[in-house]
Amino acid sequence: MKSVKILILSLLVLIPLKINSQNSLYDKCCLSNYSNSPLVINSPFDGLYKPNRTDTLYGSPLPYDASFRILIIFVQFKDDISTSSWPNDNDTSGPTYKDSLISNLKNFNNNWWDAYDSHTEPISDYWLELSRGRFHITGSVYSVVLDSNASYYASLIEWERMKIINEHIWIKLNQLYSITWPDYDNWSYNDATKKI
Amino acid sequence: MIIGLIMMLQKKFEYPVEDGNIDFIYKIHKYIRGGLPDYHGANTLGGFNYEVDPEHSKWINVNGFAQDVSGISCLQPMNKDEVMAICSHEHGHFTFAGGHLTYGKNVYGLGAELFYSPYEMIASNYMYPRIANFGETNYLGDFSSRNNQSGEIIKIPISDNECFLLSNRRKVSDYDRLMLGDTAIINPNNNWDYGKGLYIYHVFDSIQVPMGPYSTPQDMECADGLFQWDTNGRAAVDLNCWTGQPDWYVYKKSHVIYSNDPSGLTSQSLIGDGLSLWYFTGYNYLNYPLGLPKMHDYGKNSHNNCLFGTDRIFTNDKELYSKFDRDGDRYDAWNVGYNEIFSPFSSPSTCDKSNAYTGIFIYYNSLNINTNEAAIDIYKSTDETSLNNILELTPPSRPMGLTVDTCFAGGVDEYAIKLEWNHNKEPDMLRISDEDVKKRYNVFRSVSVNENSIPPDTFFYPENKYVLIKTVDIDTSITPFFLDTINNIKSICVYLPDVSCPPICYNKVNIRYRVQAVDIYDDVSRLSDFVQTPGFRVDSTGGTPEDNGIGEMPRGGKFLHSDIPKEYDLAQNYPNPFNPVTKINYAIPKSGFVTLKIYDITGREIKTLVNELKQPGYYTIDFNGSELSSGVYFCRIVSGSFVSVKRMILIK
Repeated sequence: MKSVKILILSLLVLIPLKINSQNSLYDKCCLSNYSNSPLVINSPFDGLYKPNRTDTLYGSPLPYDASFRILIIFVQFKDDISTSSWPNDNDTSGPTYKDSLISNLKNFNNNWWDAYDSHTEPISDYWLELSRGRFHITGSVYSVVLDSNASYYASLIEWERMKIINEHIWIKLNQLYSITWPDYDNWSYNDATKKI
Repeated sequence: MIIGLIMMLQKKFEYPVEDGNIDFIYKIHKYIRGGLPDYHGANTLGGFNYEVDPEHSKWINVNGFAQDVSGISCLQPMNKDEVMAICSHEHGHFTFAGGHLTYGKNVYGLGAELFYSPYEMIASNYMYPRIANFGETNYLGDFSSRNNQSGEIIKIPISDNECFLLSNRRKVSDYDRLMLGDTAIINPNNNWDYGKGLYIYHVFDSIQVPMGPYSTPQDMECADGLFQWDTNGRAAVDLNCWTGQPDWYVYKKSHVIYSNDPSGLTSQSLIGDGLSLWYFTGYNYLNYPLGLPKMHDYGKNSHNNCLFGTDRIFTNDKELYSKFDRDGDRYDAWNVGYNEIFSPFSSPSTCDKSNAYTGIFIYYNSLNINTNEAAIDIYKSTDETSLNNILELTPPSRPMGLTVDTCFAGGVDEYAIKLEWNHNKEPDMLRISDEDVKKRYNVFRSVSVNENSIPPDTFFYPENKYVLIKTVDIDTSITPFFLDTINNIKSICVYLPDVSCPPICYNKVNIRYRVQAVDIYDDVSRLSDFVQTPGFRVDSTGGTPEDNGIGEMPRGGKFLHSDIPKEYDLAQNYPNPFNPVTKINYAIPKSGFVTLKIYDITGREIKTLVNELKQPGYYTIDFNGSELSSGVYFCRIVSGSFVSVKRMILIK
């Protein structure tokens, strides 16, 4: 019984290590010949810590509307200098290009290079081009101006500083906007190392 | 069972499955202040976990394992492009590589390269390379083309774990245009032609995912050559642009290397063959030199020295380089008309990471500009016979290591312009006779209009701007050299005679040279990099000369190895001015009576050099003016209906 426990414990220890060391060659540089096959099914690499594709996972197609949905949040301190490209007009203004960064909706154009506008949706366009049509990123953009000057945060002890800054950002977001947070929790990471 | 368990656990991502963590946030701070860390990007949001939606139990997670982290921080982007660069780099740490690698998107520098390298494309399963067909022309479309989902990469195996990856970057995608060095970022009116070309990556140890924190999986084999770099002190920095430090280290190329890159790539000092990245170099690629971007020194010119990049069309290859010049430039891509041969004998060479011979030849022989398709001949020699066949099919690599001595003490005059370069390594360069073994080179020259202008030059096909002035066969036992005593060009250090202008004028000019290798099959290489020196152009006017600033150039080289001339020709004598002996070359295409006489400026006949029947061919005759006084003389040839006159200047 004791040896069985040791075996199980060993497996629990070794398996995550094995997973994390998937770096050990899935494509031996000069042996694999994919020729011109359009897709590699059952790829052992679909992203490192976050997914890098939204078309299939492990050979299985994902839902038609699958995308990696993100939040983009622009942050200013109360006394940040106003600039022409990022004025301080009000709490929600943000930079002038705030509304020309990402597509809110997945675009289904068959020509992936034309699916998103490179000028008004460059983040969505970039990742879809990079992935050659495999990775849709969509999302929303928000802007907040914190209630305190930069000097207030600078005066905080270091370990606490980022905690307070971020808390103020998250609180401000909820005050200013009605964000449907579950819309941004669509992916889970499922292996033995998973914490939450 | 264990394998099955691992396979099951490899299905690490699930969709749509809520786990309570917000998937991903780009948090973008306007400025680095308020005690924020002094860097421009981080693969974390910082702080502590926060339950942002208690009703649905949604957390912004920052302290878990990497897979649980809910986002990244991007700090102080100056514009939308910098948001793209910084945030995509940090995002890349979650999708591809936790650490940094060489020559790709996830290098240090926060997105100086926006597009994935072939390595990253393959590792991410975004592109699938084709294995090269040896002994054939391999066609390669644009790297970012829209042809299909396979993409365009050619893989050339070296061994089980080592290979070359070829990408033909014509930059169809806007996102493929920003690259390291100044490959694509120098000109504010950039037409994005810079940096286009064939990029050759050398993958040392298989393609791996994920990368380690200090991974250096690949080198770039750069078309402008591989050099040993030596430090050369410090040079002043333009403080208007480069705040913080009054000077900067500069470097020089000490010698050419024909083996594999010996520098040893590291994550923070990526000294590759030419293109690489110094720590913190690159994030601010759009006219915002806050970090440590390229600077210019020691005669380097750019469109604006507050911007990135060095335009070597305007600079001397022998001059010193800033460390950012060393880190890379637009000449790292292979291009037809620039550098087409990557072989066991070129610099850099195709030898493997252990400097062992691979026998691999890559000849980039044409590009279809309508389709962006490159035609690349790829060979692998396995024995002496196949090597000889390949050498016959391919031109030599372009000569390397060209230097110029502005005031070489020797030659016909007291001082002369002297060129030196490295012998080519190709076995088919050897011209073996009973007496000696030599290699053949063509020497090209381009002369400016005056001392304030640059000689006519061009990036591609410089032979169309330069003039062939001499073909030389040089013994393999000596370093190749050439003393320019041809025609009316003199070293800036020569003694200036007491003459009036006109009729004898010493005009200060800038002179550039390039050399070309010629193999035994008379295949010629592309021209070498140029060297530039000041010098005198001696003529009778002192004004702007004809024909691109150089007047009529001699073509002495042509007389050395051509067969029957196609037309009559009387070349300009060389040297010219002369004292007291000069050579006169002429060509006769068909048999006939030839007279060649010398006249003074009044039209009086001075001497008859030729007055006889001549067979078709090229001829050279010496003219000795020791009994004549300084001045202008004329050489006149007559054969049949052909008459030509050249003006000669005798200076004593």
